[in-house]
Amino acid sequence: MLSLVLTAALCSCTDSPAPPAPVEQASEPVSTSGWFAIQRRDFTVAYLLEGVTRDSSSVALRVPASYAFKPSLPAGERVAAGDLVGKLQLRPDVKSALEARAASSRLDAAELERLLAKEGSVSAPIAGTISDGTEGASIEAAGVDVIVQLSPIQALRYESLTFVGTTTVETVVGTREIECSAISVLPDQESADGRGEVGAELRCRLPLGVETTAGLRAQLKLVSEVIPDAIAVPNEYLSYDPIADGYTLTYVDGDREMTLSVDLGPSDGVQRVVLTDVPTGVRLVRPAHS
Amino acid sequence: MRRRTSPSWVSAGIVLAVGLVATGCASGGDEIVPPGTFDGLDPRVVEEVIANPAMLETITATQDEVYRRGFAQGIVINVIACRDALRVLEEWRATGVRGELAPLPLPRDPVSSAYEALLDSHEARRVALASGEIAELQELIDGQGGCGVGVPAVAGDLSGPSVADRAHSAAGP
Repeated sequence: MLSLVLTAALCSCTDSPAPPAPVEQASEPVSTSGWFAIQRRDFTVAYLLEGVTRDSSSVALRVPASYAFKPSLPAGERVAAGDLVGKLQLRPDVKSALEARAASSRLDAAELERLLAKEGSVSAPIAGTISDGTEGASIEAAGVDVIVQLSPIQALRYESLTFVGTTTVETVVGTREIECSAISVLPDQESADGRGEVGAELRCRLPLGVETTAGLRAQLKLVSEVIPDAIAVPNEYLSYDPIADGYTLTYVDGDREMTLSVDLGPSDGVQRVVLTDVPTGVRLVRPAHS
Repeated sequence: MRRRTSPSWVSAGIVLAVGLVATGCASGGDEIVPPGTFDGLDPRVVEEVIANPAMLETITATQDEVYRRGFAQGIVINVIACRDALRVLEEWRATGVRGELAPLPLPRDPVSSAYEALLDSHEARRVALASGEIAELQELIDGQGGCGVGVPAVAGDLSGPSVADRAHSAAGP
């Protein structure tokens, strides 16, 4: 009884004219107590999450926020896994904004190049029937997903990166490690919690041949794309500027403190990629709100 | 991932406290629980817990000696372990580097059923930390039934922020 009681209980971009800085590589962020030194490194995110299997009727086609999906087949068409179903195109507003800044910002030019490189054909992640529902295009096909509940902020973060996923799940032939056929993040209107938040679900579709069923616990390992040679800083060092409606970083330059407007990229929840050029090696100043 | 657990005995005790405040406590809590209950635990935290009316109410709410010893040890250990989890969370946020949780404090004579539950909670925090998803660890501290609800972030500062409040504080964009 006591253990039960206790278990329950315990249970806007700045075209910064920064001088070219020497590129440094670091496998870990560099910090000491009270300050953080900027370095460049490859940024990637890896999560190991607990989920549960559930029957599912469709797989959403993933359309990152900077892109628009242009279908090449009508709704109702049958497709096989790997069939082309449309194109991802960089949204015109995103493209024109980056193009306008690219001439004076090396990083904006690189970001534009990176995003344009991801334009192209979209293949059906699984076999099924194309659907164009209210939540976007999807492939209708019955199967089993591994579901991980996300908070709204987590969902926003996860949507900003591309992940590959591997799940460890019990099957009729024992526990197996299986690569997800598709990963999607969808709003979960039924998940409103005590704080009034409407969450989201991250879904990993299991391949058809996996003999498992709904209602089982599963572990999901997600590994993101790599953003090479990135600047990433702890969120705590970023300040919001309500007048400019953007974020700033403050760093020590000799005996002066310099504040720089910055554009931000993906976040792992702790650190955020800074797209604007910031001199490497400088010490960041932690804002008072932190 | 969002976890929603039942309100903890710590937070429930604090929320439901009706002001039963023992007086004349001996240092070390020997008049609250049998001698030796707190042996092996940080005496400063023991004194803090006994001086905290809500926590004391939780301990004294039962007449059963084993339960009382279990609650007493559990609250002290929870305060220590949860502040340590907050330390790891805040260092992670500030530096981008994931640290490690300190081992769970071990009383000299633990009430086994209570201690097993504490070990489970500690393991859950360790798994959350290892997940790489900071929201997982934060949820175990400031979520419903989280270990930091009702635990003063600073020892003895009953009017200041709780461990849960600190964990919930804005972490930036």
